[in-house]
Amino acid sequence: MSHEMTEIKPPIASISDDDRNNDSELVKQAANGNETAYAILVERHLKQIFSVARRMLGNDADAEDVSQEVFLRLWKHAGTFDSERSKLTTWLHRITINLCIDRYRTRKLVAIDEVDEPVISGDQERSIQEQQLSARVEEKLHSLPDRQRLAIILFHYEGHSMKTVAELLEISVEAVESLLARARRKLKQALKSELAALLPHDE
Amino acid sequence: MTDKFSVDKDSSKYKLQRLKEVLDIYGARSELWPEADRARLLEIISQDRRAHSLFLEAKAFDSLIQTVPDIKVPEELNLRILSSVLKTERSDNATPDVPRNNVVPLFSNRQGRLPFKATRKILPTAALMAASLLIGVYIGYSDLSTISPLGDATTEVAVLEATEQNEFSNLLMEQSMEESLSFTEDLL
Repeated sequence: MSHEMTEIKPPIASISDDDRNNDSELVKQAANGNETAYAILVERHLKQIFSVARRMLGNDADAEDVSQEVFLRLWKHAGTFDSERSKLTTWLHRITINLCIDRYRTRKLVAIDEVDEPVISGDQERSIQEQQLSARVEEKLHSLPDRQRLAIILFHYEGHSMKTVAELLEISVEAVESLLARARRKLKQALKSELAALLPHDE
Repeated sequence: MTDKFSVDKDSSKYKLQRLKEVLDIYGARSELWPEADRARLLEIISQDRRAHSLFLEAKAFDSLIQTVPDIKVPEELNLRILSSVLKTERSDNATPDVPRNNVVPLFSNRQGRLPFKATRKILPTAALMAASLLIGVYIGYSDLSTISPLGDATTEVAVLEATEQNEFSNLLMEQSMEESLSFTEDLL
């Protein structure tokens, strides 16, 4: 009697705790149509993907479109994902980066200075000056060449290691170092007056 | 004797130069710096005024670029992605018995036409089937032709012996096979 009871389990929704923590296993299950596995993957990776897209593109609407496209591709091509070749985060980031660069370039042709002001939610009680400062930093960040901007976003904002950034951009660690150095120097130059205001004065 | 190209990594000049490079790349967070350099660079920051001011400048710059607000994922985005993506997939895969992942749509490349690779694979099989059909039809007509053209004229002639008739049929069959094969080769 109890044997019969144990036989009954939902074929799609059941995911063991081990599998829940294992991206490769979840991707396999998603490839077989397991919507629960797919939902866990979206929940786990959406923040990172949206964050990179939002910082790259400068507005929520485009970042949402890109995130949606990234996860659509995950669902459609989960069967082709090879966990031996790369981690899922790397795979998703590469798709995101390519989509962002494509979108950014297309948009630049339409309106070169159409970068949205950062959206400040009501509960964030920051002063107008702080908002203006961050808007200016974001604006200057967007004036950087694509790869320099990506290097800064992935290393300084998303907190990836140098090795991971190199992997995501498919370049060497030395090349990432060079991108970062150039990006920081350019930003420093562009934000010279803002930086001076932050520096301690000797006199 | 020291090589004229060798670098004294403990010299202040070298350390200051290296500090500039490291700050340019990694910023002021020493936990991000290469481990091989860290101790040496922290030492010069604590000892050299110029190094110290470079470090402070990098620290200020780090805090400046961190003024960009944290990114918040719109609350309903997760659900929106799930509903639209899963809905799309369901309408795409109308056939319930086919596993969703490894389906390779045969007509995805060109509508209404077989993809080039598929055409190449199917062609020999199709040609062989066509050839066998032709052989069958040809043999059928050949057997009839051995009787019908002679018709009534042959009724008075002594009946051919079975062996002779067989030889005649075999001859016709070989001839028709050769013709069919050459036709198939032409097709291919």
